[in-house]
Parts: sequence; C-alpha cells; structure tokens
Amino acid sequence: MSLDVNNRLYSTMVDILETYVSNEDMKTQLSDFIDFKKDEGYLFGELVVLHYVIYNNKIENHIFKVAAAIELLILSFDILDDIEDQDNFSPPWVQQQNLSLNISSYLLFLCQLIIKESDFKHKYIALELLVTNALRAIEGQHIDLLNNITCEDRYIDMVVLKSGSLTTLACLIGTVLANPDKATEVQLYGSHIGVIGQIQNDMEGMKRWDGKNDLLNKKWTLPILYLLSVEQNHTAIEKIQNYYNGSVEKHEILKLSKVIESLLEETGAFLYSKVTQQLYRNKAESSIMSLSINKKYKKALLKYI
Amino acid sequence: MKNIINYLMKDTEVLHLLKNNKICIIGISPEENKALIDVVLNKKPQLQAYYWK
Repeated sequence: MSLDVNNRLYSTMVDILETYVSNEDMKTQLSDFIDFKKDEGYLFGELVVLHYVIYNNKIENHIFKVAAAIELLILSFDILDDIEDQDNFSPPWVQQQNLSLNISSYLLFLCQLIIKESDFKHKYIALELLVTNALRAIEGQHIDLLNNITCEDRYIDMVVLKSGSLTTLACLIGTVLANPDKATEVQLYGSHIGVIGQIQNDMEGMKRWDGKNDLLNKKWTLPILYLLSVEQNHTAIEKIQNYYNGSVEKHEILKLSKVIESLLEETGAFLYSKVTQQLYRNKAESSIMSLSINKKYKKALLKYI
Repeated sequence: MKNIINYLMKDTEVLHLLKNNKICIIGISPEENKALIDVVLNKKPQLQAYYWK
C-alpha cells in the first residue's frame, strides 16, 4: 500500500490520542510508541483499509479510524509480547514496563470503543470478530510462552493461532464493515499471511546473534525443530540440545555461531523453512486468485504474501 | 518432507535436476513438490523483513 495510507494511519492514531487520552504523560508515551512503529509501516491497518476498499469499491474516510484502532490493538500486543519474551530491549515500551503494561490494557479497550462509536452498519460483527480472534492470538501466545513444542505440527498450530489470528482479524474487519457475506473467502488466506510472516521471522531470528536470536533464547522455531530432528550426530547439535536442557552455558553456544549457521544451511533447515513458507504462499495465492474481485485488488493482495 | 530435503542437501545432482525441472520427488505431495521447485528456482521474490513477534 502507498506511503499515503501509512501516513494517514499515523495521523489518525495521533488524532485518536488527542481525542481520547486525557493524561498528558500517557499521551506522550503513546505518541513515542506510535512514532517508533512508523518506520515499520502499519501492515495491519493497511489490511483493514485494503479489504474495506475491495468489498466497498471505494475508500471512505471513516475506515481509517477503525484501521488505526486495529493498529493500536496490535501495538498493545507488541508491548505485551516484548515484556513477556524479554528478548527485545530497543522499543520504548520496555523502558518503564509497569507503565507500558497499563498502556497496553488501555489500548485493548480503546480499540473496541472506537469501533463501537463508529457509524458502520456492521460494527458489532466487526467487534465480535475482533474479540474472538484476539482471544485466539492470546491463546497462541500462551502456547508459545510455555515453550514446550517439540513437533512441527504443534508448532504450526501455535503459529496459526498466534500470528494467523491477527492477520485474519485485520482482513476480516475491513471485509465485514463493507460486506459481511464475504468473510468466509477472506478468512483462509488472512491466516496464511500471518503464517508466512512468522516463518520469515523464524528465519530472520537465526541470522543474528544478538538478544533476539531464537536459539540463544531457547525458543522452538521451525528451523530449530528441523535442525534438531535431522542432524543428531554432530557435536554442535549435542551442545544445542544440552543448552536447551540447561547443562551448557550461552557463551559456549556463541562460540559455535559460525558452525551453527553453516549447519542451518547445509542440513536444509533454511530450505525446509522456505519450502514450508512457500506452501502457505501458494495456498494463499490460490485463494486470492479465486476471489471474484477486480484484478488490481488481487495484485494488491498478492503483495502481502 | 524433512528427510527428503535433508537428502537433497547432500545430493547436488538431484538438486540440479530439480532446478532444471527434470524430476519431481516421489514421497511428497504435489503441493510440496511445487513449493520445493518454486523455492529452488527462486520464482517468488523473498519477503522483506516482517515485523512479527
């Protein structure tokens, strides 16, 4: 989506803060949080706007407020995720975590209030979808935090819940506000967008050796599950297994970073992750191509997979 | 599919044949075959870094 949409989402979020938040300190902090996310772009808000346009056939100003509300919901989840995981210390919300947790609670309710106050005919359907999909994402996050997944099928189930529910939510809300009858056809690829993104994140998480490296954080992700299942007789793998069960220290793993990087390539851990990701991309593409919508909208949707 | 990919990494000849669309792999589904070939041929642009949690 264009830079214009992102700028508009940003300014709508700023307007929301001015309208709803009365505490000046909270307003300042929230403003910093929104600024921090600006460079990433507002993917979820974009999906809301795009789906509304697809099924309404024209853009209308009031969809931006709902899309901004969804971005604020995602921000609340980002805050919770970083505080729960303790693996990312660059966002401003990890500085004063007690205040950030409070802001996160605020955002969970604010986003619902904004939809409730909108004048969309189907706003209550949208609200129900927001709540049900947010609950699914929270359950997925719980499973992820338990960090006891040791097989790929359960891992994918968790990703569908944790990440797929949030992209589904964004696609569905834009859709149902325009035309609730179209929800079913959007649901499937909406979830796939999240799975594709999460697998990408898993691969990125193995290409760095800072605090966000999934292996150093003893997380179970697709490339790690693959690596530990196909390559048993390598000293580095034995070290990784012992690191996960607590008998090897982090500095010993860091010494093996180059060996582990090579193993991820040589064993096919990255290839396997890419192929799994491609499977979901192909499924999403097939769903998108079968939609009865304008060609230009199909092209726009394909950019998200 | 795990074992097949692990095997492919050790057999450059099979990977070469796959790249040239000369073979398909028995033991995985047609969907998995397609995805594997798509990736080996790098048909789709790789995603830009996402910002998932």
